Amino acid sequence: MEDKQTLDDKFFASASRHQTWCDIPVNAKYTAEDIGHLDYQSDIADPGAFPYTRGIFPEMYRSRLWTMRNLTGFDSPRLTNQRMKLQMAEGATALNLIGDIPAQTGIDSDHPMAEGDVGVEGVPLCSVQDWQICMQGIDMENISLNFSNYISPLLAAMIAYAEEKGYDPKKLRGTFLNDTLAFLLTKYYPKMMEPFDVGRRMTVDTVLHCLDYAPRIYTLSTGPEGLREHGATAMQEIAFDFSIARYWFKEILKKGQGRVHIDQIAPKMGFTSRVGVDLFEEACKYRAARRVWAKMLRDDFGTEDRRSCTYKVYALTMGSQLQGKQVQNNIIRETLQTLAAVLGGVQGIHTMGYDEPLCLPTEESLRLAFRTQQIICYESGVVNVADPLGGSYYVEWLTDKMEQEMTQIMNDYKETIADKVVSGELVDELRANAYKFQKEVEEGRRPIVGVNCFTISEEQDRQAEVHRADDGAVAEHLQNLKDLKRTRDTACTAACVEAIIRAVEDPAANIFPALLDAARARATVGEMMGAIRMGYGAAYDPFEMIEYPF
Amino acid sequence: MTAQARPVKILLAKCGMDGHDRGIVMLSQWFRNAGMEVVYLGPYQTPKSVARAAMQEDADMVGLSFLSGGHIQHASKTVAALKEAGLNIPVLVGGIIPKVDIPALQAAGVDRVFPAGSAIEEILQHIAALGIPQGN
Repeated sequence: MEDKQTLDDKFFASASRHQTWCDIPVNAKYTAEDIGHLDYQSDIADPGAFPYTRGIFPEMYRSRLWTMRNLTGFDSPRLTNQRMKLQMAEGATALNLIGDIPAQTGIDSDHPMAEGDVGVEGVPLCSVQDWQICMQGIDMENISLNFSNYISPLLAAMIAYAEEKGYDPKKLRGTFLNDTLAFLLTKYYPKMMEPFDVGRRMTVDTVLHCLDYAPRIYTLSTGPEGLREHGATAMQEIAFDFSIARYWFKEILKKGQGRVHIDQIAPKMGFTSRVGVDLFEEACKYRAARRVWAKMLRDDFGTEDRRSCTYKVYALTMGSQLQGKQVQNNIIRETLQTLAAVLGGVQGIHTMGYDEPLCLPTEESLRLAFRTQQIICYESGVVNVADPLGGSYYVEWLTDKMEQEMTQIMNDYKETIADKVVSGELVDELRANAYKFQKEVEEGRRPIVGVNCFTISEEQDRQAEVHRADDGAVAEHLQNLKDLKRTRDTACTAACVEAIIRAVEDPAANIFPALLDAARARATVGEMMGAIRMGYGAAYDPFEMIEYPF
Repeated sequence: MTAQARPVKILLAKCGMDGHDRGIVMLSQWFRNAGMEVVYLGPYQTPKSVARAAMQEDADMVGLSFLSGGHIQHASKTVAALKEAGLNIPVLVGGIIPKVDIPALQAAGVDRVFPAGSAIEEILQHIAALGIPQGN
């Protein structure tokens, strides 16, 4: 079949799409007049000074580089352990683990529904034992580990493992997503969090308990994948994130009943974000976000404490902007996305494998992802100056424009964000964006190289070797789970799981200690999640295929 | 599209636990706007649930979407489940599919694979060419 160039001819002679990626119309030039209404001290300020537009630290990357932290997880804890060690050998300065789909959804690898999805999209983690295998040989007191999961039993299992190994929970560093509203936005099985009390309780109790128990872990990370990758604009991304954050802070303060202060809670938030190819839009997004966050903490929560008011963020390059046609082109897209994040002043970056539209990263694409960050860091010079784009007429104008739109959206959703997430309305709005975007591509009004212009034939489009799942490793993991269930002290496990149900039923109780006890007693993640659900009167198994085992 | 006695009816689904449905949701709306009858079952389907729905809905064809890497296993089981239910209707597959897997999918009985990034016009033309299976 003949490859069609569907792009309008007008695009080939001059810049014809006079908008940012997220459709903000932009002029041919900007001058001092366009930013005359801004005051440097109050609106922009120096890096490290309220409202932090130019960066959260005065010297930014001169004092601390962003963490080179690429997400990983696949097949089995053992293979993921090897992959993390490979990452560190290739220059990773921090780690980020993601659980597989069953783990993310809070069911075990041996659940009937999990067949074919164990070790897919992440590492299966069912218990303390799996953490033992996964973290073998990795010093948890000396590396920051992000754990891209929403389910508190998984964190409990991680901490239980760390304690058994002799690590001090107070020294564990990293981020645990924990945002169960974000969980719903990523479109995992909504019944997992039905009623939503299940999610709310896990999120709130985990933050509160870990204030003292694991104080160096960021126990909240809003910034669900479901937003940008579903079609949200950059402005919606930040506005919805901050609306959700505001919701959680209020819920946590409510449960804390005057015993906790915003300046204990807000610093526990380490945001996650997605960064796209539009260099200026993304950099301005982060600048505007810092300003909006600082103002929100000051105006809505009455604090100007820098630990609360500084927007700390980890950026993952946007997978949905990568293309399956001519995948090598994604190396260039990744480079732009990563550079945008650096110009935006983020604290951590995940660069996707260029083969992301085809498969999980191979060793080669993993290495290239790190090299992308390293070349930007060590060869390009952009790290030498904090907020190097600051002062540009376009950049200050665009930052201000994006701030206005973010603030407007946040006002619209102030009281309704949680309801709109739980009901699914928010996702429906995002889907309309995704449809509109696709129409633009199909109709040649938005150029995507290799897709609607500069296409090549199927025969010419060679794809390199792809990553393959290791069925043997998955089988090994399933056997480990069987052995765990067979060898554990079932009476002890059962008592601990029952205790979770009791804790849930007492609204004043914090359920995290009960989760820790159960994890130590070799309860599985599915069992702990099921107990939380039962405490709220829901079925043990959201798929209603298996029974409560004790 | 060529004139049909009635619109083509397509059943769309995601098998297994992967919840990434931006593409399939967008396609279901696209197909509807193109005049097709669309039933989107949603994620978390099994080969059996797809076959059952295809029977109940009297679907002319099935479209499956994958992101997670389990496409060969889930697609081949779905093809088998449809055959077992006596349904001789084409199965189309889309999503994150490396080219190297296309022969295996076709050998398993999948009619055509449209990896992410395929022109939607191409998909619509193929569906029009398939038309309504005989006997439906």
